[in-house]
Amino acid sequence: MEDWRKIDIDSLDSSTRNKRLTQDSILNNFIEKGIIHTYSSEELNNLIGELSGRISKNDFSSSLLDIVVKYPVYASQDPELKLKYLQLVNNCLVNLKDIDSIMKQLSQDDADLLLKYCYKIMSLKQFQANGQLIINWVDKIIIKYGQGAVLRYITDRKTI
Amino acid sequence: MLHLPNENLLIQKTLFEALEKFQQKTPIIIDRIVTDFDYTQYHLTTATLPQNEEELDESKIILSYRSKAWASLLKVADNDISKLNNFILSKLNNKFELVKTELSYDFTVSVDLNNLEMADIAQLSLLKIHILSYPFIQAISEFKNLQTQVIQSEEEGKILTSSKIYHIENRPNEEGFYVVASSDRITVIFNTKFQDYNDQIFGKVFIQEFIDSRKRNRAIQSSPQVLFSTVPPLEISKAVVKKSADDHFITFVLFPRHFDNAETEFLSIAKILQFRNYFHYHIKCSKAYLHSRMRYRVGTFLKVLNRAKIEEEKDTNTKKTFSGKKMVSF
Amino acid sequence: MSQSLKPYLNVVESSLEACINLTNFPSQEVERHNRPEIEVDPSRQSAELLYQPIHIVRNEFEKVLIEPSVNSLRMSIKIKQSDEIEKILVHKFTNFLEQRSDSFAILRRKPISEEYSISFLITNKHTETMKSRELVKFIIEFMEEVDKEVSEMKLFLNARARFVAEQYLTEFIY
Repeated sequence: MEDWRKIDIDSLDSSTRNKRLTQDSILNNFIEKGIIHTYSSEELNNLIGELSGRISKNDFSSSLLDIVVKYPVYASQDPELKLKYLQLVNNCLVNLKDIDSIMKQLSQDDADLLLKYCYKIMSLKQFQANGQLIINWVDKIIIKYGQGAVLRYITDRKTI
Repeated sequence: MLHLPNENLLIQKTLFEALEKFQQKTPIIIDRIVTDFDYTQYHLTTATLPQNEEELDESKIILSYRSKAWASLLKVADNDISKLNNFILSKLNNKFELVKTELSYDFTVSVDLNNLEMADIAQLSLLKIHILSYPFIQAISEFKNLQTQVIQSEEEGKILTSSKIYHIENRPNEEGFYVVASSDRITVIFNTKFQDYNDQIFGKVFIQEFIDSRKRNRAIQSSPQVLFSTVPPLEISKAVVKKSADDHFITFVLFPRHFDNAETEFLSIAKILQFRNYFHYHIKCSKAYLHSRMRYRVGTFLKVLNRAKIEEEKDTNTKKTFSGKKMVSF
Repeated sequence: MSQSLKPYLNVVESSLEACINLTNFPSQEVERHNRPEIEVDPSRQSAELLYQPIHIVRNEFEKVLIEPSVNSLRMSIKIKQSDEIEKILVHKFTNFLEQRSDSFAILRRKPISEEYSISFLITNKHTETMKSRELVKFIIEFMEEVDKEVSEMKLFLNARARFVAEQYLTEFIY
């Protein structure tokens, strides 16, 4: 850590900070500092290709979720593609019936990430018809990890 | 109260009181305005002497009637007022004398308390129904004509329909009803409108039940058939001049068994005439009930919420002195 | 309770419980002001005081939105309304509640948007004077009961209409 004595703490105080924080500015800050990865169209297309390949073969095994939770798409260059990716994730979640056995394989971090996807999917109008199936996932996550999972979701600034 | 009574209770009561007091030799002087459904108004007054208008004739009561339907009734009677008047008088068993029509009223009779009987009071309280039954009586006689024609023609399955459509407009906004006679039935079609959107939706539920209940419940299968549409039914389509999006046409098909003798004829007509009021009355009743039910429910929700409040802990150990002051311990 | 309603209510309950951790937080903008940060105009809101909103959607007719912030949370419910009768009943019912929002304390006078039937606004003032566990319980019970009440009222209306119609037509049986 840099010399903490030299940090100008006044600049962090809201009363002296004249710039208002917005959701976008937080996100941009993350991207600038390299905390989250911005997917280029090419990378995202690869990801979509892999996922849709599995889905078209009706392969809804638990390994499918590995892809989802391994590569969180926090930011992408092309919002259209991101939506397409979410569509695929939604597809996975709706079709994966054996929730309990998959839950056993998920670590807490994986579950937190999955919860982000679930809430994100439910917030989008085009996916709302299948809400009940997503709710089942959320229910299982909360049963396993408690309200902590929700708390981590609402406070995490890295958003899908 | 499930059914609306056919009689006008206020007329009944007023006449009964007047008769009672008159017979006890203590006549009362009355001047009452009585109202009824469909903007109908009655005026009951003690009569004046014909030779001297300043003097009251306590043995007679003047009963005047006014309603929005009168204009269309006159039309049905070919604008012949005496025809209509005579019809009404005959309905009242010709017991009452037609007198000069009171200003701003449509029909006036004089009631003589000297020979007024309880049965007459009952008939007078049904005055509105008697008057509005005119188009129905016309239709029934036409029905009989058409029926004989069909029988005479000896053609099987032939159905004749009268070209006459009786339209009575008894409420504002073109609300009213139509009566059409055929050789095998009489069709009564109500055109009703709803004050607001909610009434309309509630009304649809009720209408649907009117249509379905006859099919479902075998006990009432011999009741009139009920149909519903939002466009004028074929029978009356040429008579409906003004069309609006808010129109609701409810059709009742009366079969011969509903008017094959004088008694059923009267009951059917009276019931049909009450339909609009009955229908709207029960919509209002349901709304009122739901209203009070919701009020009650809101109260119970409030109780649940109040359970969440943290009650201030009472200090049970405060001691008081004899004079009521609090003891404070240091 | 139907099998699929339970997970929905469970999720709402635990999400709400997680969000109801509210603390007193004076306004950063205006001296001596203390306002529910979630209700501040979006153009003046500060992101660090708001948390991620939670959408819980059963289907397009039944959903919940929870918007938490540091000192207040807003919860909006869309109550199931599958036909016009239910729509009217829900509208009337929520109207009733909103008119008495003074005594309901946590009820918002209006839903946040047309999309939702009713909104609650819970601030740190409420959690200081009321047990937050009970508040959550109240909202869950409300969601359960409202559905039941609306469908009961609808059944009642149909039953009444049927009775009224049959009684009217019975008069024509001679």
